[in-house]
Amino acid sequence: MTELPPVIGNSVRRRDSADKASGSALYTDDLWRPGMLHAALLTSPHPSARIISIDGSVAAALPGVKAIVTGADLPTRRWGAFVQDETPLAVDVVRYVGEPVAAVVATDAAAARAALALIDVEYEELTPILSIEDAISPEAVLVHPGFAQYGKRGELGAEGPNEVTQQELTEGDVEGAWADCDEIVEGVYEVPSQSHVYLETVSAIAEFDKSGKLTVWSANQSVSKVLSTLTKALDLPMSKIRVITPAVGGGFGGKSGVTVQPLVAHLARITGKPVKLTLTREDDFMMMRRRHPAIVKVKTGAKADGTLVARDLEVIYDGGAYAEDSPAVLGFGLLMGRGPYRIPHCRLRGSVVYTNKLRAGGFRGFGNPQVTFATESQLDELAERLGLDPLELRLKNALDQDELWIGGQRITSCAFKACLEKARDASDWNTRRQAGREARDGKVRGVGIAGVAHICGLMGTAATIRMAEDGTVTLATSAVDLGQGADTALSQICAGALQIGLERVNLTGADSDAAPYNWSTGGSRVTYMVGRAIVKAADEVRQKLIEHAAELFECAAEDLELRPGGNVGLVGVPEKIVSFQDISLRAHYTSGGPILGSGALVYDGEPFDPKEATIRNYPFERIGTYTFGAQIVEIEVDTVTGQIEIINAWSAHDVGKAINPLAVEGQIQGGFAQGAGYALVEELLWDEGQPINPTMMDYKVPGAPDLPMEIHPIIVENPEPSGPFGAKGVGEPPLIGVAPAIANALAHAAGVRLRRIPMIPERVLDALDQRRQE
Amino acid sequence: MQIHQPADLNDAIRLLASNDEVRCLAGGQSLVPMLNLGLVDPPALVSLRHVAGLDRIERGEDGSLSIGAMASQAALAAFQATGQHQVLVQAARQMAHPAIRNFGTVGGSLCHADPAADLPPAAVAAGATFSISGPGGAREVAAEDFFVDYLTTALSDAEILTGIAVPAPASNSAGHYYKYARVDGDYATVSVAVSLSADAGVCSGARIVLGSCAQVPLRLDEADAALVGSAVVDGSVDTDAVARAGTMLQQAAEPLDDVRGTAAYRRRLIPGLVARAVARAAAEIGT
Amino acid sequence: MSEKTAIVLTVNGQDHAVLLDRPSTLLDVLRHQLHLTGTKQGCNYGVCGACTVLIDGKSARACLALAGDCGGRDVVTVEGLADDPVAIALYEALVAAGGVQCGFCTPGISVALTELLRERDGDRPTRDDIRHWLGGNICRCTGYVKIVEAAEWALEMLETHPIAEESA
Repeated sequence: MTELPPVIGNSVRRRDSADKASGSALYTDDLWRPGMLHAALLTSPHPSARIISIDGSVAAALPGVKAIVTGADLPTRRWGAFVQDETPLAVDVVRYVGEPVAAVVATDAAAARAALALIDVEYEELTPILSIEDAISPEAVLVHPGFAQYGKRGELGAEGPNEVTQQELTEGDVEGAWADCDEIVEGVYEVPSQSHVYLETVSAIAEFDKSGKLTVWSANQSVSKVLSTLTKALDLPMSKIRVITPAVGGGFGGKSGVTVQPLVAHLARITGKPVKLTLTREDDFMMMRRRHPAIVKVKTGAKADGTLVARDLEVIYDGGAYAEDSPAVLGFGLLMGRGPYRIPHCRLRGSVVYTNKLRAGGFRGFGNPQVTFATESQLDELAERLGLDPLELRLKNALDQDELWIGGQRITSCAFKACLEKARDASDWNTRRQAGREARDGKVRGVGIAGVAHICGLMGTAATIRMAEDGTVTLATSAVDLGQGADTALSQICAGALQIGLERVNLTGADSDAAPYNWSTGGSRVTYMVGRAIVKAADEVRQKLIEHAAELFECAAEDLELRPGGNVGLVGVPEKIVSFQDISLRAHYTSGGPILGSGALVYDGEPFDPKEATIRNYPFERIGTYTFGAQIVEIEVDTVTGQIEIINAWSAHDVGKAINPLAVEGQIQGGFAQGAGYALVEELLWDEGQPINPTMMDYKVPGAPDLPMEIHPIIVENPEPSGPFGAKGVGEPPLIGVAPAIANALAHAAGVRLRRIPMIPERVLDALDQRRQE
Repeated sequence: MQIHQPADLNDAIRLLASNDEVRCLAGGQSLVPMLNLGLVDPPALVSLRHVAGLDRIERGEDGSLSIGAMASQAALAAFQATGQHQVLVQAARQMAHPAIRNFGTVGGSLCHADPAADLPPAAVAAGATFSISGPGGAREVAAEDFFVDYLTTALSDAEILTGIAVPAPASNSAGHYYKYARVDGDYATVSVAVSLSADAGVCSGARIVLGSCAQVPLRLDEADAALVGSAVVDGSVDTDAVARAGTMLQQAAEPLDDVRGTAAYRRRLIPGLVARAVARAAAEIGT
Repeated sequence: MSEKTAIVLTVNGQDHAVLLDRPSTLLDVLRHQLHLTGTKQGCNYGVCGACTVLIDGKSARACLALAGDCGGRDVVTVEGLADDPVAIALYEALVAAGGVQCGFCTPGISVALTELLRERDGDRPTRDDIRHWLGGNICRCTGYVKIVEAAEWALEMLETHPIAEESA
C-alpha cells in the first residue's frame, strides 16, 4: 500500500473538545427560541391498562398552561422501523409504566410539570406480561392484539404469542454432529436490562415558521431517521422539514431511534409556538430505551484436541412494549452466535417477544453482548473440560481472512488471531494464568479472556464536498458525532483523500438542510461507511481538479496527480504545479463552474449465500464487514463480600486502520467501562411491572474510583480493502467481551461459574458459598 | 416557599415553631434532592447557615471533640483526629463525593437519620453526645438515643441539633469506619464503625456499630462486651472473640432490603465485615 | 406560592437581580434565567456532577443549592473560569489527552478539578486522589482514564509554569 497522508493515523485534536471542556458547546436544552413554550409528560402508572378517560380541564386552567394534549388529540399514524406499532402518546391503552399518556405545554417547564398532577386519568387495569416466560406461554394475553394489522417491513416470521420476530441461521447438520464430539457443554445464560445513562437526557425543540416549514433540534443519532419519521407522523413532505442535531451528550444507541421529536412537533403545531421538551432523568430512565434482556441457551461440542464441531444456540430477547429495532437486534445476535471461530455445524435460532415493560432498543453491541456473554463463557467451560488453555482453544479455532462467516460471506479482513496474540503478550497471560489463586486479605485473583467479533457497515450514506474559491473545502454529511469523534475522523479522511491540511476542511453540522442522507450513527459504521462516501466524493473532486489542470497544462489527465498541500502537479516534474485555489478560482469564474464532489453508497459487501446456510426471516441481505477483538481482564474477588474488582484490562481491537489513534483508544477504554458496568453492577429492575431503580441514585454506573487506570488499549491494524484508508469501525466491540472475560476470570480466580450477569456480589457470594459446601 | 435566614439560634427556633411544616435547611444535600423529586414541599425553610458559631470543630483542652452541626462534612474529613475520634473522620471521608461533602453538614446528615448513612453509626461508635436546643431550652441526648427510627430522630418540633461532643479518646485507642458499597460514593450496603481501646495487651473498651443493618445504627452491649478483656496482640484482636461479637450482631440485625442488597445478603456479610473492621482498628492501635 | 422573591446572586463576579416565584435551585436560575448553559443538568439530585460550580471557591452541586440560600455567596460557573489559569491548563490537557468525548460531563469535571488543582499547595494530588475526587462526576464515555491523565498533565503544566497562575 502506498504511503498514507500524514493526517491519517494521526491523533489530531478533536474539533469540538475545547468548546465542550469550557462549557460553550451547545446541546439541545441549551438552545432557546423566541416565544418558546415548554412541555412535560404525564406517564402511565400501570404496566398494562385501558385508558377510560382523561380529564385535563383543571390542569388546563392553571396559570401558564397553554395546552393539554392526549393521544386522542393526535392523528393516529403509527410508525416503527420494522413494525409500525408506535404513537407519540398512548392511544386507548398503555403498555408500560412510564409510557407518555398526556403532554402539558406551558410557559415554563416547572409550570408544565406542576400541571401534570392535576390531570385526571381513569384506567382499567389489564393483565400485564412481565417476563419472557409470561410472554411465550400459550395462554398469554397479547401486548399488541392488533399486531397482525400493523404495517411491517419484511418477513418477520412471528408465530407464537407476543412474538415480534423469529429468525434462524443454520449451517451443517447439528443433530448429526454431536456424535462426533468428545466433549459437549450445555448451559443457559441470562443477561439483564442495561440502561444507556447517556449524561444528556433526551431533548427536542420544534418550531414552525410562517411558511409551514418545521425545524426540529434534538438529541439524536440520525438526522435521516428523525426526518423520515416526522414526515410520516406529521404528514408533511420532507421539503417542509429541517432536522438539526446540536451537540449530543452521548447516545450509545439510546438515541438511535426516534424519541420525542414527533410529539414535540405536534405540540408546536397545536400551540403555534416553538416547544421544548427535555426529559427529567427519571422520565428518561422510564420511557426511553434499554438493552434487551435475554435468555440464551447454548450447547457446544468439540473434539478432544479442542477442535470445535457443533453449536446449537437459541436466544429469546425481551423487546418490551414496542418493536423498534428488535428484529435487527436479533439478527445481529444470531450472526454473532458462532463467533469468530470455525464450527462446521451450527444452528442459531432466536426470537423477540413483546412484554409490558420499557421498550428495548439499540445499545452498543446491538444484540451481540447478550449472545457473546453466553458463547464466550461456554468456550471457557469447554476448555476446562478439555484441559486446554482457553486462549489456545480460541487460537486453534480462530477464523482467518478469506474464510466464510456463517451465512457464507467471505471475510475480507481479519486480524482475530493477532488480537488474541497481542492481548496474550501484553498481559503476560501465561504467567498470570499460572499464578496461584492464593488469598490475600480475603481476596483471590484471576484472569480471563473473551474473543470478540462484530460488524461495521449497514445501509446507505452519502457525503458531498464542495470547494470554495480559495481552494478550501466544505464537507457535508449528516453523520452525528455522539462524542466518539466522528466529526474529526471524517474531516481527517476528507483531508487525507485530498492531501490537504485539516484546517482546510470545513464540516457542516448534522443538518438535513445542509447535508445528504446518512442512515445512522450506529453499527460502528460511521468511520467505515461515511468515510467511504467521503473518499468517493473526494475522488470526484480530484478528477475535476485534474481536468482543470489538464486544460491549463495542456496535458493528459493521466499525467497529473494530487500533491500534498492542495496542489495538482505533473507526474515526474516537481515544479510543475497549480494550486487548488487557482483551479477553484478558474472553476468559479472562468470555466466549468464551482467544483463539487459527491459520494454515495449502500453497504455493498457479499450478500448471505443461501447455498451455505438455511436463513429464515433474516432482516438483512448483507450487514457489513467483520471486525475482531480480544479482551483480557484481571480481577480480584473479595471472598467475604463477593465483590469483584477489576485490576487490569487489555483490550485488543482489529480496526483496519486507526484514523485517529487517540480517539480509538477513547472508544476502547469507554466501551470497556460500559462493559464493566454491564458485567458487574447495572441492571434495571421491576417489581410487578413497576420500575424499582429508575434514578441515578439507585441505578449505578461505574465512577472513576470503580475502574482501574490500567485499561490498556491495543490497536491492531490490518487494512480492510473496502475501508477508507483501510479503516473499520470500533465503536461497539470494546464493550462486547468484557462480561464473559470477567466471568471467565472469576472462574479462574475462585473456581465458580456465573451464567448470569450482572455478577453482583450477592450472586458471586452465593456461588462461593455453594462451592465451599461442596 | 420562603427561605428564612436567621442569624440567631433563638430566631431560628421561633421560626421553626411558627408552623409544623417548616423545615430546617442545613447544607441541603439530602433535603434538596427530596424537594427536586417532589417528595417534600415545605411552606418555608429555616436556613441555619447564618447562625453564628454552629460550624466549629474544636478539640477541648481535655482532648474532647466538639463538632458544630453546621460544620461541613469536608471539614470533618480534613480534621486531624486521634484515637477513637478517627471513626468519625473516616466516616466523613467516605460520604458521597467531594462536592457533596463541601456543603453537606454533620448535623444535616445526622438529623436526616438515613439508616444507610455513614455518620450515624460513627457517632454512636464514638460515644457522642448530641446537643439540642428548642423552645423548651437546651438538652443533651446520647447518640444512641438520638436515632429513633427510619428517618426519625429524638428531635421534637422546633428543636435544632446544634452540635455533638465526643469524649477524649483513651490513650491507647483507635477508631475505624469500614464501608462496603456497590460503587464508590453510594450508600453503604453494610458499614461497620468501630471504636477500640487496649491496655497492656488487653481490650479495655469496644464499640461496634453497624450501618444499614437496622432502622437505626445497631450496637449491642453483649457484642461489645465479648471483645473487652480479649487479647490485643501485635495489632490484632482475638479472632474467637471477634467472631462471637459478629455472630451476636448478625443475629440481632434486621437489615435493609433494597437495591443495595437483600436483607439476607447483608446479614451474611456482618461477621466477615465486623472482623475486617475490628482488625483494621486494632492494627491502628498497634501493639 | 406565587408571590415572587427578589434576590441578588453574585455569579462570575457580577451581581444579578433574580426574581423567584418558586423554590428554584441555583442550577435552574443559572441555566434558565442567566442563560449560563455551560452548567449542565444530568440528574437534578446530586449524583452525576454535570452541574458542578464553585460556591465560595468550593465545588458544589448547583442542583442541590437553593437559589434563595445563595445570596451573598460567590458563585463561579464554568463560564467564569474562562480566564482562570488552572482551568485553562485543564482545558488544554483535557483536549490534548483525549479526555473529552460527548462533553456533557466535561464542564462539571473542569470545575471540580479546578478546585482540586488550585488547592494543591502542600500535598500534590496523587493519581488516586484525582480518581477519588472525580468519584462524584459521572462520565459515560471515556472510562475516566484519559480524564485522570489530563488532570496529571495539567498539574505538570501548572508546576512547570507557576508564573502564569500567579499573574491571574
